[in-house]
Amino acid sequence: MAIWKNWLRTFLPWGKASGGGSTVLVEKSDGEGRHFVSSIDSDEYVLAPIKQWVISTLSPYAWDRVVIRSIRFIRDINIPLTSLLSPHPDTKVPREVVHRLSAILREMYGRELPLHEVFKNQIVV
Amino acid sequence: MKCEKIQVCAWRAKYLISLAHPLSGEEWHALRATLGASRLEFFVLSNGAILYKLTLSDGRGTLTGSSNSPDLYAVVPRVEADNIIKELMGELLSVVENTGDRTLGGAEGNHRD
Amino acid sequence: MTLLTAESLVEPHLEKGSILIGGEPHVVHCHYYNHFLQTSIEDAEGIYPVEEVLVWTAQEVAHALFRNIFTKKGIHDFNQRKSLVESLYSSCGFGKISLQGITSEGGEISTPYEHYAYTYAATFPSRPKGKRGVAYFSQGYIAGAIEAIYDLPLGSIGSEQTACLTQGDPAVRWRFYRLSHLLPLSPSVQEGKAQTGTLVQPRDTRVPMAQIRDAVLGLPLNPDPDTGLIEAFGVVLTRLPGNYYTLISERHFQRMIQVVGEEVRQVVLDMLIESGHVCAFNTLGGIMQSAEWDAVVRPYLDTPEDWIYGISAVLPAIGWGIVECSQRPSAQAWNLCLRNWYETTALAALPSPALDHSPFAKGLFAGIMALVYKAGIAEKSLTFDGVLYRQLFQEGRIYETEFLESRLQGGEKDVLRARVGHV
Repeated sequence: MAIWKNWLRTFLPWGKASGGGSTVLVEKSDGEGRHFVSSIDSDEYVLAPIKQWVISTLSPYAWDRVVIRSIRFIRDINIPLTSLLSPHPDTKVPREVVHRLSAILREMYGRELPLHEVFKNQIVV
Repeated sequence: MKCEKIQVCAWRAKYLISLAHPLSGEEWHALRATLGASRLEFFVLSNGAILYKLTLSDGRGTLTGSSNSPDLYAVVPRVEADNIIKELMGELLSVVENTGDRTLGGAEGNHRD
Repeated sequence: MTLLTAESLVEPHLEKGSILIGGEPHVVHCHYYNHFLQTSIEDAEGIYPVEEVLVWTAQEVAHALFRNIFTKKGIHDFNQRKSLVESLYSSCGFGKISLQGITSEGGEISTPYEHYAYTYAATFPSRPKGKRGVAYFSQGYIAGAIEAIYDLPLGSIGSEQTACLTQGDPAVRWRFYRLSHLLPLSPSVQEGKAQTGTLVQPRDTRVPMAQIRDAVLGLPLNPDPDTGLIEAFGVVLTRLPGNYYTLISERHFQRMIQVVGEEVRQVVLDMLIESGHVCAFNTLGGIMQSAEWDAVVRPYLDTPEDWIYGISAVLPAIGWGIVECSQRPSAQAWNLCLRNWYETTALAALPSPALDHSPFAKGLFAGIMALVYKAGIAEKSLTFDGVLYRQLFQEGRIYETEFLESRLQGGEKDVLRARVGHV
């Protein structure tokens, strides 16, 4: 199974990772020569599309719930609560925050954040 | 007779079954017998209306209706909903036909959508 | 053997729009509302110990109500007291329990039928192993009842939930034990700052407000004899002490602001308002499409406004208080006045409540407007599902409610306007 860093990362919504971080689109082969994007890995993520996916897919108040469940964690890494509740188009969060949000979603709704789906409309090829 | 789903969640589905006339007490009893329902309860309300509640056996849900409305409400487990509603509609048809086709609008009661 | 039935303890007070059991106002709500409110609070488990709100508040309320009943009815025998608690527990739709193994030192109780756990397990994804169960209310309620049964002071029984249906266990189980030091609990506010009012008959409708209220009061909200759960209107109902809902909302709000700060105020309020939408949608929407509604209210409904009058007449019969429509509602606005609204009445009895209005009412009345005027429940039958909920309360949300006067800000009554707004 081939896995490689995808050059498409320069087109991804979070743009070039700041502070030395890298954005990685992970692509896999299905064994029959076809390749597909199976996950997205990055050091930083734009938050707005994630929020949009959560409220449109899960429930209108899922986002507020997720943020409340994350408050302790969020405060430890000095992100203002308001930035998480109402992210601007360029609000970015570190990967660990996204992983934390995803774990909370799994616990609350039995769903994880499908990052590829969340960002698929924002990838320009 | 018309049947539409009016509420659904992971657990339960609720259906509105519209007849031409309210079911009579006799028809409720007949329905209980044909469905092998575990319980038929009726309550006389302070406005004189009678409320009927038929509890299906084995946790298969409930059917409620009143003496002053042709609408019935079935609440059934969602995963078995199609089968239960199909059976319920069949028995309802049979009951109303056996009691004079009254709830299907008498002589014009042929529309069974 | 007790000579009292649980039903005989239910006292409707028409002049207050309330239903008292053991001096505690009781209100009808459905499992969707119960879970939404509880889960909203439980979400804060990493911020403060939520059991102190969800369990202890139930303990305070149950202690007061059973102590009142035992005292007023002269019930001294422990077995009679236990029997009455078991009976009232089922009668209110909480499920089925047996207290036979309980002593003044505590004991264990196990049941496959508990409202919160049963309906959660049936409706929502299972909770991860290791997470505590969802039967907070029953845990506190039973702890308070045990204290009352054995004439123990409030806060002398500790408790924990040790198994739950939501984690695949076959039953809910709790452990109760005597504490060497009392928990820091407060006596219930009971009737709070109760007020009286009149169910006004609007002149512009033939909807008979008092007749509907009285008929709804007579509706059989009986629990299933096997499960002690009340299934009606397509939902599972409870008749739960209103002070429980009010105080867990207030205490959660207070604790969140204390721990997180003012920045969290609006998001907590939004969740409490949302609980009103959830309630309007599920409990009231379920009622408005039911055989009971058809039997009691439907014959009088000519216009969309009549639907608003009709549901307003139902509310005092489920213990929420008296709703007075000050003007004929329209699709643009509905001006209303609340007397003895259960949430306000409890909050008004607290020394300094953090909530200065009833957020539940804000969501509820906007929700009713959305059902009637946006969804068009008067014209067609609706399918209550996630799609409709989003249309009414998310992307398509158009109604909001504002308080023009609040008893919690010195007003004599609660005056609200639900209207098309910028939401």
